[in-house]
Amino acid sequence: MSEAKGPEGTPPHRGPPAGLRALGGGLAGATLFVLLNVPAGGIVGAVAGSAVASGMRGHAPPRRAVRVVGMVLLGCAAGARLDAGTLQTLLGLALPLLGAAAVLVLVSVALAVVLVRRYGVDPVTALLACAPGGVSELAGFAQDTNARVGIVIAIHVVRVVTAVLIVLPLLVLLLGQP
Amino acid sequence: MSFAVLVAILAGGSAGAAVGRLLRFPVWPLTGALVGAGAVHLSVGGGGALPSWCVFVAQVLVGSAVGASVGPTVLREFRVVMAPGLVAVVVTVGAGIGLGFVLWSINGVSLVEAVFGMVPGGVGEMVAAVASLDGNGALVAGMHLVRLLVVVTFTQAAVRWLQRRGERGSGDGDQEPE
Repeated sequence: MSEAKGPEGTPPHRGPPAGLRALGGGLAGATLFVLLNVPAGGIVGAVAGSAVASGMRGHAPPRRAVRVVGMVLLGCAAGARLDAGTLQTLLGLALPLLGAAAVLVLVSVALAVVLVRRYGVDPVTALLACAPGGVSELAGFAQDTNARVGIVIAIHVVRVVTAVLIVLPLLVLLLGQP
Repeated sequence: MSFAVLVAILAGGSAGAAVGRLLRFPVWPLTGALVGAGAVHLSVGGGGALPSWCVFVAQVLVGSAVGASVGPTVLREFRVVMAPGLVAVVVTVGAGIGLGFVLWSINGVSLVEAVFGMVPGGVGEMVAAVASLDGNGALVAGMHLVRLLVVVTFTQAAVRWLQRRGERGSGDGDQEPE
């Protein structure tokens, strides 16, 4: 029914829509982890299921719109909890948050310097790869500045996957909430 | 939450995301939807969280996209810089956790929100995790928004500075500035 291009410009092929395997794997993983009461099972299971069913086998990822719809739904879920108290808390946190973000930026600069000096990575690639967050924006900068986009994206994907599959369940267990 | 309020919040979130895209908000699908849905929620009221199936669907969509991105190409690129890449990931995520604990200890924010609000492991993923813990997703999303604004602004400026320095260093005056 649909035509889809492969991930690296491979010719179009007929078959199930791109990313159906990933979505199926994600749904199966999330359902399984939720039923097993794994901490934050929805998101952890979806990442694990999709990686096993699709990513590691090199199948085409879901279209960008899939992630966009998911993010909009999450934004709506967060917005539905927005109240005056939350806004007040955020306002009160503004300065400490700016300070914390500045510390994260300094840490990323130090890491980039190590990448440049010890591993011979060019400075722009190193800085973009070590920046703490904003994968889509940073990948865009990497393309605009002729940095090594593959390395930048690889390090950010590994960061997010590590955070979701390892750090997140540990944090949930540590913070003591199911 | 009534069906009418749910539809209003989803419509507000979608409109907010569209505006966020036009205004180039960082992570516009989430931050724009948060602002739009939050505005509807604050003006209409109607209380309560989005139905849990909505959050589950969002987690599956976002998680599947992340899992599917862990393809052979990413793993191959990451292998090139594996040791420093892993150090960068561990240090960045560790610094985020540490700063979360600092915020919790000095500002009285709850531990779940302070830590998940500071871990640079993907905004959608962290908001999804907090949603599954029944935490305040709006607060966590707001905290990540501040981090992303600082990181993206700094990185953009630093990359431009590095490029200008590189052009001067190589004595190549042919390239036009952006």
